[in-house]
Amino acid sequence: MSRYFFIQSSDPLTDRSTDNQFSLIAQLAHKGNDVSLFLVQNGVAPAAIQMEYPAFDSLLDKGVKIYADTFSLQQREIDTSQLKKNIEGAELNLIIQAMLNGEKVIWSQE
Amino acid sequence: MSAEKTLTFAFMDPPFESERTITFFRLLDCALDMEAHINVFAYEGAVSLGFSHQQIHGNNMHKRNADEENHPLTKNWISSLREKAERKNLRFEWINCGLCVDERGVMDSIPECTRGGPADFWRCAANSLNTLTVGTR
Repeated sequence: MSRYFFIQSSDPLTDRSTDNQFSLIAQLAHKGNDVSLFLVQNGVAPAAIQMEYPAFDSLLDKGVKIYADTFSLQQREIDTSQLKKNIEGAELNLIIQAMLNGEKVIWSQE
Repeated sequence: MSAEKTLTFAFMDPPFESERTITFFRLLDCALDMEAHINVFAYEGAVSLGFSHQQIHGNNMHKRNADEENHPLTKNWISSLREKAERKNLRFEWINCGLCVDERGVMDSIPECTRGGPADFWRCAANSLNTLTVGTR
């Protein structure tokens, strides 16, 4: 089992390539890997309970640990109380900790 | 320098264009807070992050002079991170891809940035605990 830590900075409604990352995350989690997803910048958009995005929402019950950057949330006036279930507000140091833990940290733009 | 707590980053976004640049600098600051030594390999547009001729400017539309506008300059952020690393006795190495520098004519970088090439990125990654490549399109 490997540990993967994905970073997503794009809003899926304006960048459909995020679907590929969500699909890859689902597949890796399905195969029993330890997978985390950190949402930052416009990437926090689908974390809000008001936004429905099936490709992302399907990850919520797959054992993927999902975090949303609190600074990005504040910039977009999204309160942590508005986050979907199983999503935590978090700081960027989580990414650094993942790197220090030797996890495979991937910030994909495609 | 121990590889145990050394992290390498590759970054290619130019200054003043993308929110990724802000996030990237926030990440570097976090890494120093967590006592990690840092290597940065800047390539493509990112070689302009440390361009020494960056200048603050006013904004006539908003009737603000240069001091009031307080425009952030990435060259200053690099210097600040380097100073922070020195205060914490951590290593902070910033390498600009020489080919990318020549293409853009941004040879005059701040002294904190050195000139190198992809082989340096390889060296840094090979001697680091982990590496994060922040690509763009």
